[in-house]
Amino acid sequence: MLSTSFKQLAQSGCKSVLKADVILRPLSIAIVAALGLSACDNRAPYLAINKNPYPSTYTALANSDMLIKNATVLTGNGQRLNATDVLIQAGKISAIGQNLTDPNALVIDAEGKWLTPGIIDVHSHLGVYPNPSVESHQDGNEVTAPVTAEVWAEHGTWPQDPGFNRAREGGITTLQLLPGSANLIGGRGVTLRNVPATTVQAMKFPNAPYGLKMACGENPKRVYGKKGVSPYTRMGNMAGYRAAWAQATEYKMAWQQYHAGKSNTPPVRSLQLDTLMGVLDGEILIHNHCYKAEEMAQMIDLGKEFNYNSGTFHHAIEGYKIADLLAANGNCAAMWPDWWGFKMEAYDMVQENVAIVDAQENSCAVVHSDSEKTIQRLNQEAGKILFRAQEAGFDLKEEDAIVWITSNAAKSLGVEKQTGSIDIGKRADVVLWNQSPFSVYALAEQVYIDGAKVYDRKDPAYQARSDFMLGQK
Amino acid sequence: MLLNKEIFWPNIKILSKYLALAAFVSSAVYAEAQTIAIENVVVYTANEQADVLESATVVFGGGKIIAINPVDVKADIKVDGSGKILTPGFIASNTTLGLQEVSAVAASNDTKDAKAGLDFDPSLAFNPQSTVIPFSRQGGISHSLITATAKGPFMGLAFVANLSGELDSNVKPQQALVFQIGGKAKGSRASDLQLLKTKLKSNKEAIAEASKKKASDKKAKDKTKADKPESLLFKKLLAGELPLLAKVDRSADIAQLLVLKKAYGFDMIIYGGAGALVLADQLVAEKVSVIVDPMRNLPEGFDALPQTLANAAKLNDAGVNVILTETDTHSLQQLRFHAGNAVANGLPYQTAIAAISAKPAAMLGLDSGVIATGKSATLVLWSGDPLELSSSVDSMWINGKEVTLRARQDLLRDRYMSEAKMPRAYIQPAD
Repeated sequence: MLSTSFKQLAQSGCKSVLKADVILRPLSIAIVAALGLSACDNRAPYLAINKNPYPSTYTALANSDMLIKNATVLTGNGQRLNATDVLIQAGKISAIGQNLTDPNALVIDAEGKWLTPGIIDVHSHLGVYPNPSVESHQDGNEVTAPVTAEVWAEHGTWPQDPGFNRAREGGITTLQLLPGSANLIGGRGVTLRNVPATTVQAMKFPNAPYGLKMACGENPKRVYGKKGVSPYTRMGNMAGYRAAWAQATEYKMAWQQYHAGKSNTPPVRSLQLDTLMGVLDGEILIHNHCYKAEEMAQMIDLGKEFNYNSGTFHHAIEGYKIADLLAANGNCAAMWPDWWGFKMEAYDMVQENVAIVDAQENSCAVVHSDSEKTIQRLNQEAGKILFRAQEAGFDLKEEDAIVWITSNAAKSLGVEKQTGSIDIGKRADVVLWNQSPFSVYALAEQVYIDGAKVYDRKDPAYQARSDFMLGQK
Repeated sequence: MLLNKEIFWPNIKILSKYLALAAFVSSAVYAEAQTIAIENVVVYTANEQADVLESATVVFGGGKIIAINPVDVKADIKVDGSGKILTPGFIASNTTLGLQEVSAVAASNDTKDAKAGLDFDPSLAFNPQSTVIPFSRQGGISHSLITATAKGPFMGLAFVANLSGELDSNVKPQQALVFQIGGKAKGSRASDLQLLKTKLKSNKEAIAEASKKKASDKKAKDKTKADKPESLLFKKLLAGELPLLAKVDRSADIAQLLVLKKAYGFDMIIYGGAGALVLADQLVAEKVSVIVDPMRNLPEGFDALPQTLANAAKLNDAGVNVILTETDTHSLQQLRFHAGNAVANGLPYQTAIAAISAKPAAMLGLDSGVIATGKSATLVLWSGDPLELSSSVDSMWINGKEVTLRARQDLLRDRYMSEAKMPRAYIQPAD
């Protein structure tokens, strides 16, 4: 019962084991190395899981070197640099400072304008719940069992969703698509570069770790309780997660036995447990839809029980009640500014939630959208929080608020070394705004991904349109 | 604010907590009789000339605006409005305010009823003590047009309430007959249009017959069809006393409704209007206002393809009377930001202000929505540009009474931002 994605390699292929297994996270290097060694011992044939069977084919669009002059720069790492130049060479940030020159670079006069890192949304359903919102396109939630860790959001993604273009016009350069929240464990999310493409692979952020969607609270127990199966209560939710992680732990041990040569037969392949094992191995990051304080605290302990990191709490309406706990455990919390009231678990919203979570030492506060509308204005979403927090006495400024939608978001997705801030060596994902991005009147004028212009408000040549929209009246 | 807020708090629940302050309760009558002058303030009048008054004085008392820039300012209380902006209270359209506390909690949700017919009157279920109301006031919202969310095609009657939180704040029931037309998961929209057409026709005939009978026999006592609740509503509709509030997006559907409107002569308001622009000339000629959520810019379905963030601006440029709204009841604070975004996408600033004040007030026959002598003193004093993210409401009056801006959310915040050695349950922030 071996699936086709199962790589079967002969003894002589010990080198190709190393090649076939694309390394997603540093931790996996050790495992792959171990695979390579054990593949060269006497056992044959040797089986290894291909961890990246749908690899990214993303390449940056055409770019030229570029010198952005005299911008107000919010770096995304907490700095505000006035009248500053940013040099972009070969798709990377190469210099930041005053009076920079480069005879080969295209010069952009950004006086009076603001430059920020490309905006990152850690929670989107673009492509999986696209517009037009027709039955044929409802591909975001495999509502057939409470645990569907085997499904991958990228396999249900429609790259022609016009929402990708609208999001880009609002400065979104990187986004994570997640499955919905009907299931306890809903499947893998995927992190994308927000470039127009005809395949999902051409949008995939190279080497970004996968996410795994989990959901607390009302949704899973409502959806499955109605069907007369567990979970019917929050108790059932917890029992469901625990059973899944217990099974994954055994699966992982079985593979370890096999890799260590203590067993000649590989474990029976389970796509569901492959994903869960990826979490236990630290290669796949948890993204947990979880609103309430007491539930987040349980999920933190659940992670400790099964020895994985409980990751990012999404929505986290009650994050402010346990801000210290989140920071102490290194959890990110991805939150809205003010969405509330649609169900009981979203009742205790406060507009200062993000600011309160952010105020803790070692915190990781993120502002997310979970909406095809507000993904277009994450800058305004962060702005509302900034100003309400200032009114409540927080000492926060524009350079702090931008962190919630750039570098902290990158950290949540595990791509912080590549994007999320204007730092030398990082991908040149930047947005040029006509004014402070925290004004209601702010418009993204130009958007760059890897130094390539992907949107220009004033130039129709850089305004992408979905196939779907052609010929529509 | 200079005013003692306790005097003006209308909330009965709050007042009951302050029994010791009974003296203040009785003095509230006196306080209301006081006159208040807001001085040195920038006034966005939202009048037809879109007048903006710099360093102005607005005097109000007895619930009304008494004077603007009087030579001699006489008032019991003077409020310094320097650096601030005064606007009319903003008006949201097509919300379910007061009909639902928590959307997914069925017993707190009175927005729909399987048995509800065309004459379903959700105003009877309006709850002025919903926590959504004070939260919405923080967005400067003084009134809302409220509709049920039934599946349709007839969705009952729309009503208007103010956001004072008082038990008598359901000010205008039965303001419009709500009708929805569009693509359906089951069946065809043709049936819905046919139903509307049939009802218009039969009621028109019944009215004609009844008036004939009355003419021929003044003593006629037989109950005619025109006396049934549904027929009474159609009678009003056909007499131009009750508008049809049509939830409609597709151009072809709007065109069909315009045909019926011309044939039967009723008043019509469009809510949605994704495809309204191509019919702008007819909408202007037929005096049809369009309520627009200016943030709709995605092809939500085949009924709503051509939307952009410039929708509101383009309709306005074409001469259509555009009213802006926010569709999520719990998010009415976004109304002013939606107006700001419409401005960023081409709508003239003062037109945007009017589109959330004077224009909906005129549509609903409200006495507020414009700052002018004799109008209701329904006013919002803002710390800065009311459409900007950085501004907030300093003070707010509905019909001359100051309303509190504290919401449940503020109490939660204050509880969790307090230093405490005991569990936070012991911290009880003041209302």
